Amino acid sequence: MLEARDISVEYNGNAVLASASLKLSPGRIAAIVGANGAGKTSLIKALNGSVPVAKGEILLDGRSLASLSRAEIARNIAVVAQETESRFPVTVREFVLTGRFAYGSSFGWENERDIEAAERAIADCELKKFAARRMNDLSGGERQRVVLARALASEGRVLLLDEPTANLDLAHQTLMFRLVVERCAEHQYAAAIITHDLNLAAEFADEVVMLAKGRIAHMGSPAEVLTRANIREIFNVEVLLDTNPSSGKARVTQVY
Amino acid sequence: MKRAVNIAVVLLAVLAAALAAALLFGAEWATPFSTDAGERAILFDIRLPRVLLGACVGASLAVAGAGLQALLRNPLAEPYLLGVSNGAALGTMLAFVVFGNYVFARPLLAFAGAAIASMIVYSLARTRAGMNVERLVLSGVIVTTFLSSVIIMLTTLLDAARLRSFTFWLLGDLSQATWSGVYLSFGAAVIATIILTTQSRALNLMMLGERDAVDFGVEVGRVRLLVFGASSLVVGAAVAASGSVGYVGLIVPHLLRLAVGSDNRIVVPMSAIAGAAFVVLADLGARVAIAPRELPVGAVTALLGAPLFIYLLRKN
Repeated sequence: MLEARDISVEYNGNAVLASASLKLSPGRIAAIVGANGAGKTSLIKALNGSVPVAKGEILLDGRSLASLSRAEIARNIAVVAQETESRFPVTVREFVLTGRFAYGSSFGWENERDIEAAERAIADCELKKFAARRMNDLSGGERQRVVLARALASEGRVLLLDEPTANLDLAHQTLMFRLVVERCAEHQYAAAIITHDLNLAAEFADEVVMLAKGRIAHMGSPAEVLTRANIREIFNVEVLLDTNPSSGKARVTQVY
Repeated sequence: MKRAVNIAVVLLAVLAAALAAALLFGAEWATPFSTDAGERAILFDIRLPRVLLGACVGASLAVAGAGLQALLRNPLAEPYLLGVSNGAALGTMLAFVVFGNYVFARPLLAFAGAAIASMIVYSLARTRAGMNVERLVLSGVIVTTFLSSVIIMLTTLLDAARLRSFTFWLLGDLSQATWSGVYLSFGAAVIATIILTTQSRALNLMMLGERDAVDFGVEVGRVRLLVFGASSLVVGAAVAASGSVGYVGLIVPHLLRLAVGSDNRIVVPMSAIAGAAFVVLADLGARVAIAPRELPVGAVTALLGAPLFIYLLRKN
């Protein structure tokens, strides 16, 4: 569905991402892990064309991203970015509705279809009782859910999430991942999630992409990638690996 | 949409009342039904163009403020405070000094000055990490003071009689209103309001963050160009006609947002109507406060705007 072929991203001549190739496929979730500064966010930004690639190309359903308009990209790829704060009093409902921009013109009001999509996303993210509240009055975790709701409202079939669980409590981390898993399983969305939580990656991802110093160091199923040797190499920490008795998936425990 | 129409009806009624009051009241009472030639001259030749120019200038500055605030994600952005007005003022003065009375030189150079000042402030305020509020305000202060000093240097070229009218004009003054100024200012205000309104849905996203806007389908570069272009156009026309009337672009969109929320599809076009009413009333105040003498209207708007600026800065 979304494919990066040998892409590089540069800021002022410095490569922050080099020769990365990966494929996001319908129904599958890729977890992107790596140390701070490894190029995770640059990869996500490149995947929806919000930063230009210096080399290589990105294909959305076989068409080069560079040939598509921003609106066309936005209708297909939804982004949950790291939280931004606005100084303007915007309500949750208004915020989520901005996710429908790509379906209209730069002026004009949302139609019933837009409102329906926004209300459904608000309900899915358990935000109904906040809908009329202002963003600035919400907690960081609540705002983070609103950002997810906006991405879901845009109905892009590729979800790119940049540390979506950073501000969330345990229950809402699970909700966030469950929503993404559901979208991928039932609606054949594809997702890439940046996370620092290796256990969440092991639990929910079909594929783990390990980045180090701007390169993809390891890529494959969680069992293949999340090994003691790889984690030591990338994060410079020792871990114990065993199996989560409830799900049967890999469990990572750090040794301090 | 229906809500926007309702708000527009209310604001248009306020504007109509403001225009009527500004026409009737002043140092002299004048009605359109009078048969006295002197009274009719005061009303139609002096007061009418002045009141209409005030409305156009108010609409221009308020709509430019609303657009710039959303674009720059900063409720403190305002043509006067960003140095855009001073850029236009310098352009106007240059036109006056270099091209004399050539009619179109002033608004053209005012527009160019506004556009150049916008670009300079924008590039000073922008860092790789994006924009921050304090940096934008500081950049505005620096550009404003620098341009002010150039303007002051230029005024030394003027004789004493002109110096007084220029000082008034620099503070924002509607007493020199002419019909050509009204037409030009009206045209610019209408064009800019239309351009900015057509971008208002995109501005709703820009206001939340530039990255958000890109991610959700806004062609950010095009929106930025249109907003800077439209705001430079109106500020140039307004300043060429009436000098730097300050704080209108700060006060009007702020009050509107308090009343109707942040949706730019409402805030941007309604700022034009509310701004027109605001400056007409401020100028009425400037005419009657110490009648028969007059204040420059910019002094009145600054008296109201500066405290609001401080309040907004503290709140942020």
